[in-house]
Amino acid sequence: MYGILQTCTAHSCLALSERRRGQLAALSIAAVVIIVGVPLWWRTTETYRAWLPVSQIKELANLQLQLSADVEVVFARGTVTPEQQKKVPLTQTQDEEHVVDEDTSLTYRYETKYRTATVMEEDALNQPTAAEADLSLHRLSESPCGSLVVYVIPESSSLLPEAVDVYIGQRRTALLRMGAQMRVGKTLEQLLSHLEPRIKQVLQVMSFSHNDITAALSDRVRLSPGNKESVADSMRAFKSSPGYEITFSLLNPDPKSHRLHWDIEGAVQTYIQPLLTKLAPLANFSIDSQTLYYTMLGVNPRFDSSRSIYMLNADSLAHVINPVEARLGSNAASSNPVLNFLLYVPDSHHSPLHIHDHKKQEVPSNAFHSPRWGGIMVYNVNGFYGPEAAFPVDININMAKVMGVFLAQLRLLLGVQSSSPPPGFLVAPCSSAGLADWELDRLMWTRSVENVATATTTITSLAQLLDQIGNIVINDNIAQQVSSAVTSLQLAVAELEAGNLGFALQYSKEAILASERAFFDPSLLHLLYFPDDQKFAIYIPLFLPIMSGDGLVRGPAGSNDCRIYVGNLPPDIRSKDVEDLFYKYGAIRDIDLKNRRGGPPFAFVQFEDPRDSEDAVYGRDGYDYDGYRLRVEFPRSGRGGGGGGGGGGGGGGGMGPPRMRHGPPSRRSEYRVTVSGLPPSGSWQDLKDHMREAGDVCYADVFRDGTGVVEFVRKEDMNYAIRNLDNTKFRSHEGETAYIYVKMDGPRSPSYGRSRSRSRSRSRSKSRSRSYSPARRSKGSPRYSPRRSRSRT
Amino acid sequence: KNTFINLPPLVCQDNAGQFFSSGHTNNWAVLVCTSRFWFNYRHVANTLSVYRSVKRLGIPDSHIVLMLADDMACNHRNPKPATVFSHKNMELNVYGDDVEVDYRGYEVTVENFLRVLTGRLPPSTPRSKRLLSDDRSNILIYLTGHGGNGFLKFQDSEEISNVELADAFEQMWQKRRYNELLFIIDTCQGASMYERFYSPNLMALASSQVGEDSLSHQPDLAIGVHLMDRYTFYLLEFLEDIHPASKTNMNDLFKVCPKSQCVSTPGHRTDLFLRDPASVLITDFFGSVRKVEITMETINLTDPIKQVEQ
Repeated sequence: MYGILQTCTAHSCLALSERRRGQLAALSIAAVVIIVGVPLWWRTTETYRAWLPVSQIKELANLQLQLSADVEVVFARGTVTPEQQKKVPLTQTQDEEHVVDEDTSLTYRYETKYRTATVMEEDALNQPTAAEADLSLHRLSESPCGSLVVYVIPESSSLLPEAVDVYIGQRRTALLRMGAQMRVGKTLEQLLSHLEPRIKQVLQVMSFSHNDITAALSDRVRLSPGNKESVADSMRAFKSSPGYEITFSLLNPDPKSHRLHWDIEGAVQTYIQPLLTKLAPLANFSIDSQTLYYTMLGVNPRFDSSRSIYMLNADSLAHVINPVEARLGSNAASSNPVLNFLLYVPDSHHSPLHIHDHKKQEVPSNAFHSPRWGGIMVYNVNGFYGPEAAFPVDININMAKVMGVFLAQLRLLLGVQSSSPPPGFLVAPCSSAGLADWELDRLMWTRSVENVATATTTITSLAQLLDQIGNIVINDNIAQQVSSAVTSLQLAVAELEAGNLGFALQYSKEAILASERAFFDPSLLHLLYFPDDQKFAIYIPLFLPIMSGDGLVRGPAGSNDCRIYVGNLPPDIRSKDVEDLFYKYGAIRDIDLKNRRGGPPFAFVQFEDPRDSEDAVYGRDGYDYDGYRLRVEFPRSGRGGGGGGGGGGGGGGGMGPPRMRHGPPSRRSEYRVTVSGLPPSGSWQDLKDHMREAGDVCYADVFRDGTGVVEFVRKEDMNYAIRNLDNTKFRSHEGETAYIYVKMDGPRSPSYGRSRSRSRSRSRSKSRSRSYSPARRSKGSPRYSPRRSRSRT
Repeated sequence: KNTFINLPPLVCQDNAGQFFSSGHTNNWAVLVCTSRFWFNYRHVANTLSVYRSVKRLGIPDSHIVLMLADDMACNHRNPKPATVFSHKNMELNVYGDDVEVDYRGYEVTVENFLRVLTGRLPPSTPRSKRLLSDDRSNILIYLTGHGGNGFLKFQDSEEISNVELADAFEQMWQKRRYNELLFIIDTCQGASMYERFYSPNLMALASSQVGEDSLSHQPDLAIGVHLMDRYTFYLLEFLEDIHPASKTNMNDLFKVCPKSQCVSTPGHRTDLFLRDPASVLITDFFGSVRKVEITMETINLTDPIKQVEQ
């Protein structure tokens, strides 16, 4: 320390410490920018992404579903020998595994309990018919949802008709006739192995079959189209949905011939509501009805003169629905699937109307249905009125007949009835509920699996989407829905495994609702795709000052850069001469020659390229043209906008050397006049414009008190101004007018010694509002424009 | 016991399977014109001509999402108000009697278009503004407007890129929102819009190859603008000959507007599509031929009140 102090002079020491302080200051500023700015930038540009249970979603992507069904096999008297009887009750568990695809596997667990019938059950089985036995057994005990009881009855039993081996009741019970070969001398094992495949058959009808379950997985596993029948089945029924809208429409094409009365409300209450009440665990249903008048079918029925009936053949049925559908309307507020049921009553001139099948046979139901749409029934009424009927005829529609058709269609479209039972099976007629208990179970099995499959697919594809698009915002609501969907899914899978069908369905419904809400969340759309180049474009304004030298800002600043002012031209100048003067500097877009009477002519030349205009200013300023010294400069507002690097010096902040080395020379002259009486809005530009009539103005300025100063290049111009422009009407760019007085200026005072830079900086600030050049319009049609302009806000 | 069931044996239809061969049960159409202003009359006419065709061939308005960025029929520069013509000398008015525009004017944005496709609409959106398709829906998507290599402009203010479009289709596929999808675009360099598609069961057509402009057609002196674009003009001519039961297939559609007529070269892409284009009927997308089955089984219900009376 001491040595250093000794070796340096006081002056250099001061300079050294000054420099060090400067370095320190720069360093500390840099440190502050890094410590505060970088985290701030990070936080403000960060995308909010709430936490998602990714690992659990991955587990769900690999779905191992186990379905557990409980079966109770009850041996009636006479089916097992006393020795065999000693070994029951016993329980057998059987697993059946299926691999559907690499991510999905299924396990069916059948838990079979064997026991002998109780005395009361024996009594019930002694009823005269199978249906009555079924009812009595049901009264004894109610088996829980998802379980089955199979009663094995002796071969000699009179409950079942000949050729029927299995009777499936309305509840969750089935009667199974013991085969003839099992009468005597067989062990229990032999007996059970004989029963096993038949019990499985019963299960497939009453609970689930592998075909049903794989069809229910269709959202998850795209199966190759199998046989046509199964494809048709999978297409017919509506997909699982939390709600359905059912619309019953009565089509009356001619109210003049029929006045139709249908008790739709009563019919729905009597025939449809029991079914829907039973289906309540699966979905909510809302029912509407309407009557449409003057609604015709879209196709013209053919008249069969031999039988004097009208026919709709099977091929034309496909075209019936669409024209009608436009008239149907639907509940605008709901986006649930709509089931349409149409009752068409043909008018008296077109009835009776019969639907014919492909074999040209009359269809007894006179109805048809369309997959995932609904059904149409034709209801002929001409049998109801006699020959002397007075039109319009009042007709009461037999709702039992109509609803019999619609209920059957509804069952088909909801997927209740999917396949016909195997041979030897007798299925009980369904009760007034429209749906047997086992049919409900069957539907619940497939719907639970379908919901689980759909919800897992939705959640995994959502997770994949969110993973792929890094800058998508995941808000808390989405994260919450995803979490709740994942939890519900796990619960649903666990309940299926435990065999609690009711809970499994409930959880799977919750899972599907939550997953759909997450997937379809409106906030997910923003910034789906945002290319990288545009991310950087956000920061471009920050670097503008640095880049300003390289024309980055020149684009929007527009054509001003390309325009030059040419003054002090000879009076007989033509624009061709101006072109000759400047063509060698580059392509000229436009020449605007102002050759006003009285004043010296001047011109604006516009080049295609701003660099050419620079060259022109450099090469032609001061050029002696036929005795006239040309003045070539950028117009006063010319370098506006982008030209800040040039004369201003204010905004640039010392970044780089001034670009415009050959700007207009800062010239002053002694031929000066003072101007008074200027309006407040009169600018120096206005003043210069006004004075241009007298000649070449090389300097103009205005002061706040309404006075100004103008300097001319030549003395005669000054004299002209004093002589002719004194007491003339002056108009400012804002439209204010005033009469101004022009006087010869006195001796030059120091206060006028302003530098050119001042006027330049003024010009910069005003350049926007006063631009010489009218906005140019690009000519090309936008359609064919190859340039890609992207603005996204 | 007041009700009983009667189960006649299920009669299998011989050609029941034929109904289901295309694998779809319903049809949807999303038709979009992305350009505003009078001089883009032709884009509105393009879209309306496709609208007219699909409606004539049976897709109901409830299954059509029509997006028109401007209302040419009521434009004050239209010398024939309430009409939009596709042919010179006012031969064919594609505005028709009832046009149900679902998204119009400034509602036609990239965001709304993508929301319609992906289903990410606000809960308050009415049914008619939604694409409620399912895994058995065949969807026709028609776009027209000013485009370039890899993008299509919407409203002169924003654009959709081919990547965004491909991603939207992938999400539709993931969410099982379509069975098969036909994409048609009439714009400059239209083929660039389907280059990036990667989802299965997509078929795409475009009016021009990359680097080519699609040109307009039918200049009309009375109206003062071009009425149609070439590709859609010939597409309309082609569709006018189709009726709901016609057996014309996709290979015929690919031949529409050869270079001699179009000046540009229309392109198509079928590699993502699983079926043979020759087996795909035009009406599988442009129309809606409902698949029907005859109801064979009925439930014999009896009126409970009458039963009691008896």
